[in-house]
Amino acid sequence: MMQTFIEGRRFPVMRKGPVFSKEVAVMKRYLVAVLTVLAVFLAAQPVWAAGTPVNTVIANQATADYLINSNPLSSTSNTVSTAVAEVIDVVVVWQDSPSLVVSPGDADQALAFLMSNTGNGAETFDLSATSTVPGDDFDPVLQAPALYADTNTNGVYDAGTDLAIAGSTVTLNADEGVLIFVVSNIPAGISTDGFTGDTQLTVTSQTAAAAGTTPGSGLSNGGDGGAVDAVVGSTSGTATVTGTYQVFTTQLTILKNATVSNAFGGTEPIPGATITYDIIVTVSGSGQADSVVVTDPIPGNTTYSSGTLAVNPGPAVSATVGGAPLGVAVDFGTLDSTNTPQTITFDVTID
Amino acid sequence: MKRITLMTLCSMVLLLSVPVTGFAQEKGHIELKSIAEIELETTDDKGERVWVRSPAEKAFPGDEIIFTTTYTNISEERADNVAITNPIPEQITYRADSAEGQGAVVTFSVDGGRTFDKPENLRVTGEDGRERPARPSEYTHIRWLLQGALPPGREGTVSFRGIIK
Repeated sequence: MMQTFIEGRRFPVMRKGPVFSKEVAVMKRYLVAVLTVLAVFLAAQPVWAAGTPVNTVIANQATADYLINSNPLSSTSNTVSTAVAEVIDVVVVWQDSPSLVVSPGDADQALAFLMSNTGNGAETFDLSATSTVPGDDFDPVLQAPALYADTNTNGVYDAGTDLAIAGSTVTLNADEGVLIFVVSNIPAGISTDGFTGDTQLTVTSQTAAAAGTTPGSGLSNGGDGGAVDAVVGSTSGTATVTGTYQVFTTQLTILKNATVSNAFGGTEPIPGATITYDIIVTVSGSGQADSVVVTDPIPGNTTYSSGTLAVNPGPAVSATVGGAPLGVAVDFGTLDSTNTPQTITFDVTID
Repeated sequence: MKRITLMTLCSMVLLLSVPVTGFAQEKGHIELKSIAEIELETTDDKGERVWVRSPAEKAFPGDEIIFTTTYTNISEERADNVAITNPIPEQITYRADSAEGQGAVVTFSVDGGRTFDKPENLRVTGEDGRERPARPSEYTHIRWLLQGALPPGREGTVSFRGIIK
């Protein structure tokens, strides 16, 4: 039984210069994106973002206790009631920042947007998407339909499984969030590395559409159930958020696995246990990646096992262990999609 | 919004079925009348800015509500040791220093109305398990202790402000 950890991500490859520093930067941003998603989901716990739910009745009643001729008596007041009206608010956050890396001619490329009803009542929102956004280099070709739900709730778009959003409307309860995919095909003719194509998702509450999107504008008896008012909150009840595709003709994929084995034949990472790292480097796309250098620092509290660094199938220009802090560095020179994926392996022991 | 969901239907049914008065009012010797108001700043015909109050039948999260109770001794006898108690509704956060009542000592509870004390003496157990001074937002009840007896026919008011959560 082997314990395996996997991390992976597609990275754009710049034609010239070392690759890895860019990848690390991308990976950091990716991590930030993941943490942001987590934060958003955590925020979706029932801590009423926009306050007391619509139609809640706030009741107040006072009591008096007193003595009349030394006899204790009490009185109560009438109960005064206040009904909580509806605030309309929506927040949309694009999830693929800073860009979704694609290849020319890629189909079914989905930008992910997390849409949250931050108001205090149920609300129906109209959704629309456009790819004719000024300031970018090309227009992604929106599929028809272009808006999809995360039907199997796995957080990624699955063509054929995730269903189109019927009527381009989404109804969310207060504080409820949902992932929306805007799906496009990437034109085949875009062959300049780094070119960007923007797509905008616009979400507007149907109440705000009727009431006007100035914060504070309202609809008398427009709240849920029609007994209370609705008012447009600070987000104007609408959101337009841009997502960006970035084209790279060549892409480098790095997958890293860690396998633990100890002297007792188990996989517990105890002192003395060996961790074997596999780093699989794959290049895809029509171009080539030059000066590909993969570096990986030896983790803290571990010791590199001398002589274990290997590259398969190779050959590599060089494969060394050194530097401060200590790390492995493998120079592949030029790689393209005709190369078999290269696997770097090395062992460390836990101190 | 236009769609009437099951939830809103339920809340409508609740609204219709629950009488507006939670408990029957008992007038006794001292009659209490409670109102809830919202205050809006406006400009009067002289061009001066004035605050105008109106009944808070509907309000939004974040709105400040003024709760006022008028007490009147409607009996023929003197009332002693008059204490007026008002629970702070769970959807309301008490606004610090807003409790008023002429000739009354104001005390607060942080334990659901079991004990009352002045703000400087109120303590709660924080999330770290240590005792600390209570925050106004943690008050659960307000009690006004009228100083001196309330003669027949005498009336007065007590009030506080709170924000809808």
